[in-house]
Formats: sequence, C-alpha cells, structure tokens
Amino acid sequence: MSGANPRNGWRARHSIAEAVANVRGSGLLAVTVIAVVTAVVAVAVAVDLAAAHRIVEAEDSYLASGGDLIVARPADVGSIDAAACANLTAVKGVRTAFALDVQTGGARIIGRPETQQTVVTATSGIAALLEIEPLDAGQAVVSTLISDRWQWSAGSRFRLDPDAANDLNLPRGVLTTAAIVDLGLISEGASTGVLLTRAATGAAQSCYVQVMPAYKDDLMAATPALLGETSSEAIQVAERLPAGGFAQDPAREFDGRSTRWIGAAAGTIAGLLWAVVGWSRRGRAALYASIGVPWSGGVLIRWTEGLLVVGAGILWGAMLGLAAAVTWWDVGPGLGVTMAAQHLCVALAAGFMVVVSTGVPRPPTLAMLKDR
Amino acid sequence: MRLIAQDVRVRYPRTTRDVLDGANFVIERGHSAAILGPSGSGKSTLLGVLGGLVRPDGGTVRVDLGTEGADDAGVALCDVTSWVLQTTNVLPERSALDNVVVAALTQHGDRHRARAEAARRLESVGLAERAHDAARVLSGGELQRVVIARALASGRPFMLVDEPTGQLDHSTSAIVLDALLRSSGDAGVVIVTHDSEVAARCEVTVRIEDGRVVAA
Repeated sequence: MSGANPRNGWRARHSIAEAVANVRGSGLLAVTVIAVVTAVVAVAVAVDLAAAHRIVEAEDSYLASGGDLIVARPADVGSIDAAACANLTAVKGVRTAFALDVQTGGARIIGRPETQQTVVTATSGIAALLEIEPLDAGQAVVSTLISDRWQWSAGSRFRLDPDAANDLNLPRGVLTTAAIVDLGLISEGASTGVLLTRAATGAAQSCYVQVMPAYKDDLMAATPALLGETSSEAIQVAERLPAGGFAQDPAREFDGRSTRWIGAAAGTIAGLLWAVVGWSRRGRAALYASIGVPWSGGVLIRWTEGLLVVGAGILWGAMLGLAAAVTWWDVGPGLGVTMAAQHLCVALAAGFMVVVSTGVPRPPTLAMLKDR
Repeated sequence: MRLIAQDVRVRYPRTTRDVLDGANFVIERGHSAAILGPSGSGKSTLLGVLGGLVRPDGGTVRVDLGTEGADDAGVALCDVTSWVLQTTNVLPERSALDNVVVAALTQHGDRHRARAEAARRLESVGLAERAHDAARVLSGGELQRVVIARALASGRPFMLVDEPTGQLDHSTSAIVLDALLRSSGDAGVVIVTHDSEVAARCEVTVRIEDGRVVAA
C-alpha cells in the first residue's frame, strides 16, 4: 500500500481505452443499439430524401414550363425597348433576358402552301434560356410541333415568305434549322413558331427575364424602371406561368418541408436511446467511482461509449438511408449525398449533445452500487 | 494514518429521522474493525460517510495522515478508501484481470505496471488461474474475491467492506473472508456485517444502534 494516495493515476487515455473495451465487450447490447439507431436514422434520411426529391422534380418540371420567367409588356400603349431588355442580363439575379416578338401567321413557308406560320423573333439572350448555341443570321430554331408536322430535323432548310402586313423585317433567304425546341416554354402562341434572332435595337412587344428564384420578387418590382417606364408608358410585369395551381415557390417549399429536421430528431432519439441504456447501467458509473476513477474520468468513459455506439449507428443509418433513397426512389446521387451528409452532421450533433449532457450527472454512488 | 468520524449526523431526504445521530468512529491503518448492528441502524451509511460517498449533515469525517506538517485537509476520502460490497459490482463482460486492472490504473497510471499489480492481487486471493475468464462466468465467491483483489489493487490505505459474505454459503464465506483479511496487508479494513463469526475475525468490534455507536 502506498501513502495517502493524493495523486490519482487515472488518465484520459485510460477512460477512452476503457470505453472501447466496454463497447467491444458488450456484444449484443451494442449491436442492438447500433442496429436500432441505424434503422431510425436510415428511415429518417430516406424519408427526407424522398420528400426533397419530389420537390426537386416538381421544380424541374416547373422551371421547364417557364416557372422562372417573368414577362414585361406595355401596360396599355407603347412598346419595350429591346436594348434595355437585353441589358437586363447584367443585373444581379437575372440569368438571361431577351426582347421578344410573336407574329401569329406572320409568314408563309415557301413550298408549304396554305400555311400561315407563326414567327418569333428574339434578341440573343434567348439562346441561354433554350440552352442552345447563339443563332447566326440564316439560322432558325423550329418548334417541335412544326418539326413533327413537316418532318424537319436539325439542318433542314426552308424559306419564309413574310406577310406583307407584318412589321418584323424577316429574312427572305434560305434558313437552316439549327435546333428543334419546345417553344411552348415562351408562350402558347410560340409553340407552333419558328424562332429567329433579331438585333437588340428598336421596339419589341415584350421582354422576357429568366430570374433566380431568390431575386424574383425584387426583380419583378424593379424591371419596369430598368426598362425605362414612364408615366405615360407604363410597363406591366407578370410571371410567365399564371398564378394559382401552377404558381410554385420551390425554394420556400424545400426550406419549409416538414421533414427538414428529421435528421436532428433521429439523432436526438439515438442519443436518448443511449441515455436509457446508460440509465439502466447507472450502477456501472457508480462502480467506476467506487474503484477510484475520478468523476471526470467516468464522464469521459460514458461519453466515449455513447459517441462510439450512437456515432456508428448514425453513420450507418445515413449511408443506408442514402442507398435506399438512391436505389428505390431514384434520388440523384448529387442531391442524395449532399443531403445525407447534412443529416449526418445534424444527427451526430443532436445525438452527441444528448449523450454528452446525459453523461455528466453524478450518480448517487452508494445507492447505485447497492442497487446493482 | 487514521480515518476519523466525529459526531456525524445524516438524514436522508424526505425522512424525519437521523440515520446517523452523532456517530463517532476511528479506524487506523493496518487494523481491522467490524461494525455490527440491526438492519436500518445506520451501518452502511456510516461506511458511506467514511468513504466520502454520503455527505454528512453534521459532524466531520477526516483523514489524519499522522505526519507532522502534513496537509490532512487536502486528502479526499474517496482517494484513501476502496470498496467491497455485498452485491458484487464488476464489469461482467470483462475478464477478472481487466476488472482489477481498472483499479490498479488509478494507482499506477502505467498500464503494464497496473496489469502486473492486478495479476499479483488476483494471485493473492487465489484466482490466478481464472484471471482471463469473463467475470460473468465466475461464481459468487470468486466474484467477491475479484472485488477484494480490485480494492487491494487500488492501493488505497482503507478498505470499506459492506456485508461481504451476505450472499455466500458458509464455506465460500470462509474462503472470501480469509482472502480479505489475509491479503489486506497494511490496509485498514472496516467490515459492516450481521455475522458475529465475521466480526470475531476482526481486531475491533463496534455496535451501532439507532444511528449511534453504542459499544466499542
């Protein structure tokens, strides 16, 4: 026996080694807790990934229909300044902007008698919206409906015979089909049109602005002024898609989804599950205290045990949930990995917080020892 | 070195009676004492107070290092006492050796020295051959000897023992008691017991009734 033993030899590394040995030795208990935590977290992650996937799919569909377009038109009289419209592309929050005219039945297609062809002319910014290369003079984009009707494909050539009454100054030479696109994205009328580019000068019927969702409201408010609205020539700005059932705010829907914090909830459940196990084994904490392990050493043992078990369960759960969502619900790997990683971090933080906070209280040692 | 309790008073929460009511007790290192008394008389509470696991509501419990100029007040009770209880408190999934190593680590810090010390203590209580068996497969008597080895390996100068043979048969009790008293070396041993045969093996016997030490 030594003297009064004023110095305790217990070190932090002993606590960590003790915790690892306890977890390894606990066999079925640790495996069961890890399995339950894995299942809880996997379900949580998979459910939220599925919910997010539905929103993203709806958003993709919405955007493909023109959901991120706003359209400026003269409120009553006047026109849109094409140059001012094209310049909106440089404004923060604007993906692209273009001046656009639609002339229904503005021309005939030579060689296709009795046709009244809708002609759409737009400044170069439309190429970004349609995700095509900018058009050269002599090139045209043909709508899918026209392409289907005339069996045209990229490279097909045709000539327009402009209606004498139209004011679009259309080319009369041979046009080459550069791309075939669903022009219904722009408007119902354009869905049967042929698209040509026009210079960013002069007047136009309308100005289309593709916006980033976060800037939509601000840009709707600012666009009239940016287009040079005057008191006598007011400009009206509206969303391309009508309000109501079609109106969506995917970003807000994504941020407000009910399953957003399900990872934190799952992590908390995991931590609480371990807390229950810890409570049922509180005599063990008392045991260490009675052996002479300092309180801080006992806390570190409990923390390490909890972090190992809960951490392993959450990690496996996030991976399993990701795999399930990608496999069964066709969630994109990019979205899935990003969101699963977020849920992993949040669940770990929540679970560890519970483990840490419930591992601190000092048990009534003697009573716990006698209860064992 | 002595462990001294003076006029100790303890009342548990939500009760109206003092479990200990002015109890006095002294145990010197290297000696053994038995505390006898009926159930509820405060025996285990006195042990808890001596070990620093129960905070007294009145009176003092202190360590007298017996050295002039030594800082008695700086010594925590839990740093000079180890425990052996009626219920065998072990880590069941760990080996007997591991259970004892934990206590030895609080004394030595170095794992190799702790393992050697633990093995020596297990040998001293007759369990060398079972050192690597999981505690859960040991018998009650063997487990109690593991606990004794663990208390010894902690190197603390006082061993507080609460009903060490209460759940053991007569022959096993004798083995455990032998192991306890033979291997305790220069530790002071305080045994709470109902068993007069156990008390008879100790150098000093005191009785406690209604929270007071009534005979020594």
